[in-house]
Amino acid sequence: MNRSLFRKAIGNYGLLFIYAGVFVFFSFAAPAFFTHGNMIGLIHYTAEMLLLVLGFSIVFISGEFDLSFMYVFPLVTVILAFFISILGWSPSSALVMAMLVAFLAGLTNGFLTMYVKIPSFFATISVAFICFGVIHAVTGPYSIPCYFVPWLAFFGQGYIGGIPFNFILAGILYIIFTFILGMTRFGRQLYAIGDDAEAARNIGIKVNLYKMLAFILGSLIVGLAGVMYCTRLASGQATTGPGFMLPVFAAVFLGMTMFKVGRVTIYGALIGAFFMNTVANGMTHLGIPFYWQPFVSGAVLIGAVLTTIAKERIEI
Amino acid sequence: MVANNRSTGLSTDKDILIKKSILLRIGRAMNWFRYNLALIIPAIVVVVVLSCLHPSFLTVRNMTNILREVSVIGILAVGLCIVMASGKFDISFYGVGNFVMMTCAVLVSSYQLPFISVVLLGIAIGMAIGALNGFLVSILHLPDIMATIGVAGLFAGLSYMYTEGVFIWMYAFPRIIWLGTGKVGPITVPVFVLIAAVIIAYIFMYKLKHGLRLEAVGINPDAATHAGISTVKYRFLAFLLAGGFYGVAGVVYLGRMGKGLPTGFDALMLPVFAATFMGTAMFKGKANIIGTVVGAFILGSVMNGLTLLNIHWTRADLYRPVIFLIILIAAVSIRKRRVVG
Repeated sequence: MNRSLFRKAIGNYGLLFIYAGVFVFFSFAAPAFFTHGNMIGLIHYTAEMLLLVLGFSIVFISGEFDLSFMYVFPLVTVILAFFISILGWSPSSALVMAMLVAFLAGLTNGFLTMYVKIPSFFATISVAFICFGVIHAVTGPYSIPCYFVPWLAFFGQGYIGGIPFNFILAGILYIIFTFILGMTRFGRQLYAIGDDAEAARNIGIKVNLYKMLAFILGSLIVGLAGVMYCTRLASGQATTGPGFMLPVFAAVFLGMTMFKVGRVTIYGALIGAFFMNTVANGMTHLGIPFYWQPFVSGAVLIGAVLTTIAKERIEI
Repeated sequence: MVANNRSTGLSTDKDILIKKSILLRIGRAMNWFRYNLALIIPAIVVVVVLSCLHPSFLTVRNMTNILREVSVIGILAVGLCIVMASGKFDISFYGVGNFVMMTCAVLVSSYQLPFISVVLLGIAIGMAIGALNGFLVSILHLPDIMATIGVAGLFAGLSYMYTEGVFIWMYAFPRIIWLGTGKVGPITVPVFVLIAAVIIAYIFMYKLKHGLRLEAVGINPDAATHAGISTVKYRFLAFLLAGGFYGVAGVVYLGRMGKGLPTGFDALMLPVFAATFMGTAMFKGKANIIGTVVGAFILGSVMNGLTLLNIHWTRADLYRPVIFLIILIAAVSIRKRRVVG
């Protein structure tokens, strides 16, 4: 009895223990790590990553693969900064424009995957590179500095009660999507489609429509992440996207090793995202060169996938 | 129905009537053409359009240019194609390529290793990483896309290790440069490397029993297992070979760029996927070497055409993926629409 409880604790919540261990290690090894300023900074810049992970997870739950975030994300930042600071549009219409671009990217992803029937991996990577092309056509490889009116800057730079506003917004979105995916018909059917699209179609779920919705939702959330990033740094960043690819995958797969093993869960992905950013932050504090970060991301990704597979095999 | 009868050797009167109908025969021929050679149509369209737009597109000199441009993409795509024929996918090539390129650059510039041993070492490193991929995907049964992205991350990170991101110039080492830009007659050396890679892959895939078994594993792993073919072994073999091809591409690209660059292969991601995917899905409907090379050649023509038409590189970055996608959609929809049954 006790032993099985122990195994369950280690098996399903092992990552939390590892995370706690990593946290304690960095707190002792790097004196500036566990300070108020660094912790606030950590949740401040993890907010965007949280949204990227959320967007990717929603599509991944429906059984498809959305790589387009790696250039949709910078494209939104560039569009927002470009329309405000170069074309001189009003902030609200530029914001609408930026979200419209994200929406279009999601629509294209869904259309290519569902109706032209190009595998989602390739369809989304094509969309990603088209976005990359649009960035280059708009700015060249330069970032666009931009001044934002206070209410728009509040997205990225605002604080409510000492906590960054973008983190609060990400938290609210996580609560909403935990509810939507866990307790509504849409969420349950999305999981059903992800498990077996054919079976889902046979029992009358509108597979194409739901996958389309997943793609659009995912892209819109990535767009929101772009808005936060742009307003936080006060510039449109043309080259930011691909660096997020590995950490996002690693975060989602780390999330799959927890709670319900082998299943994408929103709260698991949240902890995965925090794990990845904490490790990166701590490594920077210890003075480890930047190029070890993709290495660690890759190693964590492989480790997480291995753990998931090993656990699934034990249970079966 | 007809195909069934051919396989059993039996035929009824009704089938003979169907066989004799000329219209149906033409329909079946078109059907076959569309199914097996759908990529040829966009290829012809691309070449015709570009040669109308610019007079010097369809000259021998420009064709050799295109081949040179395509050579590294082609070598990578052939490697990826072998993995895809075994039913798996491999994204690790950009990490492998960067790592091999930087390692070889360091070996040449800091340790003055001779040319042949550097090339062999490059291939060996590629194959070792391929073996790691094969171990993760085929022996441990990890999901292919995730495991190979992880491996790519590992080695993309490691390729910064030697110089922390600084280039390593290669112009003091003429033999490496020769491998990338040298000429034998009118044709540059990378083209010969590409041709050699294609021939090796072709012989392996279509002239030896191993290639047939590898394809069987890709098409139906369960049936292959029941027929006594080890899926684990052949998938491992596919990853191993692909790693070798990535290694070759790494060394050749080092010579072509004239410098070791830890991010050199990142830009090749889209063209390689596009070439393999076009060739694989549109040409005979399964992974095949010739289709992949044709796909790479189409992509090369488009890139070359955009340069010839004097389009600014920031615009070309936008047009290129759009054109790739249009070609892909055209090929997919041509293949999907069938004339007869």
